[in-house]
Amino acid sequence: MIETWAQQLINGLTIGGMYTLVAVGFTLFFGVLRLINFAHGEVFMLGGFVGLVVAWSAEGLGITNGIIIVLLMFLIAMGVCAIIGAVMERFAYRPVRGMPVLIMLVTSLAVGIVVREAVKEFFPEGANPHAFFSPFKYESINFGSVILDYTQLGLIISSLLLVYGVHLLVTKTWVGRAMRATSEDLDAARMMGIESDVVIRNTFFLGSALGGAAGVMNGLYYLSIRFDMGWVMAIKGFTAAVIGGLGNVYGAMFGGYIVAAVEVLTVALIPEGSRYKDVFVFLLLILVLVFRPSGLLKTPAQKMG
Amino acid sequence: MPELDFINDQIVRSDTRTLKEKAKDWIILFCCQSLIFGVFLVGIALEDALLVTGFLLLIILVAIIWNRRPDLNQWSQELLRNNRHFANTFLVLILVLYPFIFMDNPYLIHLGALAAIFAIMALGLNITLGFCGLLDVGFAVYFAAGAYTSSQLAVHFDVSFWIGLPLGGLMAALFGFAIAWPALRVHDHYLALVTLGYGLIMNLLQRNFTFLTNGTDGVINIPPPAIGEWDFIQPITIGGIEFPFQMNFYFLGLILAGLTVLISVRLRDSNLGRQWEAIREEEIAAKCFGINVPFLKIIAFSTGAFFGGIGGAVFAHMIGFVHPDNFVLLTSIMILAMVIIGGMGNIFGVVLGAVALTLIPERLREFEDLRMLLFGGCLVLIMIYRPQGLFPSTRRRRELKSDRVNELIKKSGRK
Repeated sequence: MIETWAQQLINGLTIGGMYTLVAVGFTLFFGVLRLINFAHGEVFMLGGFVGLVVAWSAEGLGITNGIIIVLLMFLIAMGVCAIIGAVMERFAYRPVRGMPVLIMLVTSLAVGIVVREAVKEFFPEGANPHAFFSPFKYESINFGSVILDYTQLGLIISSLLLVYGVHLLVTKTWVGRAMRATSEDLDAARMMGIESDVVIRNTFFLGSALGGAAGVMNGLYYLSIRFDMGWVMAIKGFTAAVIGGLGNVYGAMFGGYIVAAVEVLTVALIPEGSRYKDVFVFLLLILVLVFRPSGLLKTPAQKMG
Repeated sequence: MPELDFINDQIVRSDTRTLKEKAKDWIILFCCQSLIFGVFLVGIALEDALLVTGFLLLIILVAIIWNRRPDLNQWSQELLRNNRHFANTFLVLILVLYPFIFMDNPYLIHLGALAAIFAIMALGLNITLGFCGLLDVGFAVYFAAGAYTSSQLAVHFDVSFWIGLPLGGLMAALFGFAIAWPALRVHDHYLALVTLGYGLIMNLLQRNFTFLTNGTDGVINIPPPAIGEWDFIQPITIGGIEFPFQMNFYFLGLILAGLTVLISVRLRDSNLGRQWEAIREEEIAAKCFGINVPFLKIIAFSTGAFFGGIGGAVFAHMIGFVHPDNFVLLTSIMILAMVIIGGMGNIFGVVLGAVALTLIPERLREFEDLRMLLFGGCLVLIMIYRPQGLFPSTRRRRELKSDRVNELIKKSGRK
C-alpha cells in the first residue's frame, strides 16, 4: 500500500511541476494585464514541438550526449516561446489593451486558434501525434517496487530549479520589482517611472519561456506530443493559477501541485478515474472560483476581474 | 442630434412625408435591397474558394469605404428608420424566396437551414450576453442539452419532435439555470472561466456518460420531424414540381428563427429588457434602483439557454446524428463570435453574424483546415479594428468609442 502511495507521490510531483510552470505564466499575465491568456496553452504546445525539432537536428548534427541534447531543448524551446509570447503581446494584446473583458478574452482565444492551426498545418505531419525523444527512457532507480526513473527525477529537479529561478527574478531583480509594482497598481507604477510596455513585454518573455519549458518537460515525460494538447494544459494551468489566486506567483506554485494531487488521487481512488480526472479538475476550478475567488491562499487586497 | 438617437429609436414619430416622398424612399430602398441581395446570391453561388475570397475582400473594401463616409451612413440609417416596415417586409419576402431560387442546388438550401439554426442559438446567447452583459463561453452546453434531450426521447421513447422541441429547450434552460446560481457570485473574467469550465465538464460527461448520450458513438438514426404520416424528408410535390426536402427544414428553421427574432425584440423593449440593460451598464446602480439583480440574471441565463436548446433540437433532427464532437469549445467560440462580430445587442447584426459565420466557412471548404487558421486570424483582426462588431447597437457603439463620450462630457462642461 505504502508503495502505491509513494509511486503516486512521485507521479504527482512530476506533473505538478509542469502545471506549476504553466500556472506561473497565467498568473503573471493576469497580474500585469488583467488578461487570461488562453493562448498560453498553445505556447506550451509549441515548446514541445520546438524541443522535438531540436532533438531531430541534434541527431542530424551527431550530438549523442543525452544531457546536452536535453539542455539544448530547454534553452531553445524557452527562447523561441519567449519570442512568440512577446510577438503575441505586441501584435494582438497591445491593440486591445484596456478594452472590455470580452474583447480581450476573444482575442486570446483567437490567437490560440491561430497558433494551434498553424502548427497543425505547417509542421510536417502536424495533425498526427509525434513520438518525443528521450535519452533516459530505460534507466531508473528502484526502491522496492517504487520506480523513480531518471526522467522523472530530472523533471522534478528542473521544475523546482525553474520555480526557484522565478522566485529570485521576481524578488531580487529590478525587472521583478517592476513587474510586482505593475501588477499591484498599474497607474501608480507608471507614476513612479516604470515603463509599463517594457514590463508587460518582459512578463510575456518570462511567462512564455516557462510555458515552453513545461512543453519540453511534458514531451520528455509522456514521450508523445500532439498539436491539440495545449488546450487541456491551459485549463489545468489556469485552474492552478486560480487556486493560488490569480496574480499571486507563489499561489500558482502551490496550485500546480494541488491540481496534480487531485488528478493523481482521482486516478488512484475512483474506478475508471482516468476518464474522469479532467472533470474533477474543472469542477475544482468552478468551485474555487465560486466560493474562494481570491484563491485558497488568502492574499491581502486581491483585485477582482 | 446623434447623441439622442437612442431616444429617437424609442418614440413613435408621426410620418410627415408626402406620398411622393414616400414612394421615392421605397423605390430607393427596393433598389438597394435588391442589389445587396443580388450580391449576396452571387456570393453564395460561387463555388471556387479563391473567388469567394476575392468576393469577401471586395465586400470588406466596400464596408471600409462606407465606414469612412459618415454622411452615407447617416443617410442609410435615416432611410431605414423611416421605412422600417417596408424594409422588413422586403427582407421576409427575400428569405421566403431564397430556396426557390436555388431549387436545383439543395445543398445551398441546407446551408440556409443551418444558418437559421445558428441564428436561433446566436440570438439566445445575445439575450445573455448582449442584453444582460453576462459572459457565457459555454454555450455549447445548451446546444447539446437540447440536441440530446430531443433526439434521445425520439429514438428511445418515440416522442414526437413537436414535443421534443420544447422539452429540449426546457432542458437546456434547466442547464442554464444550474450554472446561473454559481455564476451569480462571479464577474467578468471569473464568470468567463466558470462558464468555460462548465462547457468542458459537460463535454467530457457527454463522452463518458454512455447510458445517457451513447458516448463517442453518438446518437444515430434520429427520425426527422413528422406531421401525421408525412415526415420532413419526403419532398413536397405541388403542381408536378418536386421541391427538395431540404426546403422543409429551411422553412422550419426560418419560422423558428423568425419567432426568436420576434421574442427577442419584445424582450428587448419590455420592462425585463430595460432592467437587463441597466444591469449590463452598471450593476450597482441597477441594484440601487431596486432591480432584483440575481433573479434577472438567472432569467437571462435560462432564457438564452432555452433558445440554445431549441436550436440544438432542430439541429439533431435535421442532421439525424448527434456526437460530442459537435459540442466542443470551438462551437461555443463560434457562437460567441457570431454574436460579437454581428454586434452585441443588435438583433439584426447577430442574425447576420450567424448567417455569415455559417456560410463563409462552408464556402471555403476548399481551403480545408487552413480556414480555421483564417478564422482565428480574422477574429483577431476584427477584435482589434472593429471590436464593436459589424452592426453595433447604438449604446454599445458609444461604450467602445470613448473619445466620443469624452467629447460629450467636455461639451457639457463637466470635468
